[in-house]
Amino acid sequence: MPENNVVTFETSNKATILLLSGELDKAIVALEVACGMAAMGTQVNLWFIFLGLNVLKKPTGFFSRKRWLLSKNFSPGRNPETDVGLQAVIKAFNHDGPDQLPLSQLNYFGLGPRLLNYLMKKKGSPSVLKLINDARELGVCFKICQPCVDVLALDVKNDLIVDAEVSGVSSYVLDTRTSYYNAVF
Amino acid sequence: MSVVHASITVTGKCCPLPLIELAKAAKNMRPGEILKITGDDPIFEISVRDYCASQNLEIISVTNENSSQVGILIRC
Repeated sequence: MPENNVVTFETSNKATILLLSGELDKAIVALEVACGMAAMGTQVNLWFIFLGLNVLKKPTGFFSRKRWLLSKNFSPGRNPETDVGLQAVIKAFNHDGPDQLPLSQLNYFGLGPRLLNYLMKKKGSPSVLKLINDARELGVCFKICQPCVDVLALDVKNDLIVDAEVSGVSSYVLDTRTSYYNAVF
Repeated sequence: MSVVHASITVTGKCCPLPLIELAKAAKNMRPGEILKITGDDPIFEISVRDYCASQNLEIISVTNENSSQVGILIRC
C-alpha cells in the first residue's frame, strides 16, 4: 500500500463491529455502540455472522410454513446446488427476530429477556428494534456474511428487517484495516 | 436572549437515545443556527458536551429547568 494511503488511528473515521452472538445483552451493546459512534460522526460497518444474524430476522410464528420450509427464493449469497433438507431443521429451531433473543446468562427459559426488556422500557432505554431503526437512519452500513446466508438458508431479500449487503471475509479484512475501532461481540 | 431555531425534548429517554436524537436534529440545522435540547437523563449533559466537542459545536448555555430537567442551547 503506498505511504500516502496508510490509514492511521488519527486519520481513520471508520469503525467495524462484528456481532457473532445472537444473545440479547450482546446485541444491545453492539447496537448501542454502533448508534453512538454513528451519531458522533463515525462511519460504522456493522457485521452480522452466524447466530448474530438472528437479530436482523423478521419474526415468524413457530408453526408458520415460513419457519419450517426452506425458501426457494434464491437471493444473493445462496447456492441452491448444495442445499440439503437438514437446513430446515436449524432454521426451525433457531431464534428469529429481536423479540425472541435469549440472554447469555439468567435466561430462565425466556423469562430473563422479558424481565430485562420490561426494566429497560421502564427506564426509557431503547429496544433492539428501535436501535436497528436508528442505526439505519444514522447511516450505519449493515453487512452479513455470505457463508452464513448459505448455510442457514436465509432469503436476504424477504427474511430480514433491514437492507443488508452480503459480503465475505475479504471485505471484512478491508473494513477492519481501515477502522480505528474494531470490536467483536 | 438568543433566537432558538429548533428545539427537541428527550425527557424520559436514556443513553444513547439523547445522543441519537441530537445527531439527527443537528444534521438538519444550518451552520450558525441555534438548537435547544431538553432532557433529564442523569448523563444527559455529559452526552451533549461530548457530542458538541466531537462536532466542534458551541454550547451557549446550560440551564436547570427544574430539579431533574436540563436545557442546553447549542450553536450549530
